[in-house]
Amino acid sequence: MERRLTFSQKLALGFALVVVVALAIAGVAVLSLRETVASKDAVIELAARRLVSAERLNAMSFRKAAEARAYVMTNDARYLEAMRTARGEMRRVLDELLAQEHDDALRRLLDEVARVEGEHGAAVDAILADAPREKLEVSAARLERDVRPLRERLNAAVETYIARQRELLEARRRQSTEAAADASRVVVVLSVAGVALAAALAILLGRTLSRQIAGAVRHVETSSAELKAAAGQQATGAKQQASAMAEITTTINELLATSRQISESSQRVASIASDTASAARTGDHAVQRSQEAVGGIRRQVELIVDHMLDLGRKSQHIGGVVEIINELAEQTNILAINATIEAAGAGEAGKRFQVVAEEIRKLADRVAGSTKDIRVLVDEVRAAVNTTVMATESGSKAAEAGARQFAELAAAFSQIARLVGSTTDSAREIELSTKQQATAVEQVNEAIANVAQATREAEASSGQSLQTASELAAMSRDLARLVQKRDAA
Amino acid sequence: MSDETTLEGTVAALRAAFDAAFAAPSQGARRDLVPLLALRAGGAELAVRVLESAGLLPARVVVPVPSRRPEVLGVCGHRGAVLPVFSLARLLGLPDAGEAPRWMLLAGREERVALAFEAIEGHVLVPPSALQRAAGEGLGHLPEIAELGGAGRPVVSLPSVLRAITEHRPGE
Repeated sequence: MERRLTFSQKLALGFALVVVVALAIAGVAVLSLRETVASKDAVIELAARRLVSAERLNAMSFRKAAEARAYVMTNDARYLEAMRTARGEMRRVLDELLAQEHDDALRRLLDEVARVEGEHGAAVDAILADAPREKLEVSAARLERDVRPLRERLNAAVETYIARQRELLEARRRQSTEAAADASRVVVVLSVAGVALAAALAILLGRTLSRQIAGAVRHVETSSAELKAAAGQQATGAKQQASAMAEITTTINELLATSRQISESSQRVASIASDTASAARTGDHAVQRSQEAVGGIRRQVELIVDHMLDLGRKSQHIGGVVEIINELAEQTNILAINATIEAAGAGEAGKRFQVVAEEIRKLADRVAGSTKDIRVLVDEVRAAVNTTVMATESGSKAAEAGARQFAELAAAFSQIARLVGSTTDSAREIELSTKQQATAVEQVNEAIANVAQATREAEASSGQSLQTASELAAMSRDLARLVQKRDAA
Repeated sequence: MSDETTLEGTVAALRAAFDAAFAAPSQGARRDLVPLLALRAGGAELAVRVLESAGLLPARVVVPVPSRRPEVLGVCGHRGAVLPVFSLARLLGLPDAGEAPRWMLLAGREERVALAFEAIEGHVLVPPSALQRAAGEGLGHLPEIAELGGAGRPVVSLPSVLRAITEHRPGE
């Protein structure tokens, strides 16, 4: 708890303790004086009031006796009333004393006074009641005989009470004096204790502060040494950092030049890609036209195939017709043979008919020979048609394959156009990014220059820190010497 | 062009020959030439003297009939009469060629029969010198050899075949 307090707090706490002790001493002194004064005042006031009341009892007793005698002598009712007033006053004073008194002995004395006063009053009242009817001498004699001893006893009792009260007053006065003396002794003892406490606090504070200051000075010495070493390292690091910054600046400049070259290259790439896209579009159009031409060729080839197939069908029809002719020739030949046979059977009359039949047979043979030639020709035509159909079908397939290849070529050109467009966009993005990168590199270069400046300033600052650490070490040594001297003293 | 020229020439030649047939004086039938019918039966190339037959007709409808003679193929109708149809190849002892007969030769005068064979290969007129007797014993129904196209072709004797048929009949 003490270690957390500052020096000023500790000093303030010590002085506060001393002040508190002084205030306590002063308070005790004041309280003792007040107590003493109050005790004296109480003794004086109470004793005086009670003495006055006792004296008033005595006075009331004499007054009551005087008023009683006056009534006896004059029978004047005023004296009787005055006597009763005096008696009432005496009873009131007596009651007050009884109420204020706590001492048993004094209360017994007061009870005795009251009892005697009662007897005295009763005796007086009896005499005063008979006084108007008796003679003065008789009443006086009865007073002298009956009342006087009681009055003496009353006076004696009152005197005894007064004497006792005085003794008590004296005793209390002595008691008060002793209390005042005790308070004076307490004040003296407290003063001595306060001085001792202040001295002890001063010694304790001095030792504590010296020890802590010495420890702090050692810490300061150690820290200043470490600070000195750190400042040295910082200075070395700042130099290395400055050299690294110079190298970084050179590299950044090279990077900037490279970025500009990349930007120019990407610009050229964008231009070339744009030209390539234009050429690809032109090629795409050419391919589309070629595709249309191939489509036309394919349609023509299909038309040729249709015509050839039609020609094949017609040649087949011709073959059928030739077969009919051949059949007819064969039948004609058979009929001619039969006619020859019949003519031969007819004898001489059938000779001329046999000649005609022979001519018919020859004609049928010629027709059969011609139909053979026609069949050969028709077969050749059909073979040529089949060959042509196959060739045209191959051509049609080749045209279709060419059309498909042209379609693939067109798709490839479209894809090339798209890719080249994408390449153009990418090249433009690269150009834009490279320009942004060049701007960023310039900003980085500027920041690096600022950092280099800061590094140089840090180097200077580290030198200043080194000097400050040296001065701090010297100051800590001086402070250590001061503390050690004070400890030695 | 040459084909057209050839065709036109052929047409002209045919027309000229046809016209010449009417223009030439009638000479009657040449008795010195023998008409032969070249045919194929049982896979063999044969010939028949045309004037030995009574007619030639196609084997359109032949109705099979049961017979113990394997040469009998069935019967057919001809000019209101029913004729028996025989296989010429089987009559000659040749094996079946697996080809259905397409033509029939009529033989006989009163007892006509039809001889079926596969194909007609032509009608030719040959001089008698082109007909030679068959060497050795030969086949009974093939007594001659005709020289046609540089190759010898056996000539079927229809009367011999007809005799074989008719002589066999009482045994059936």
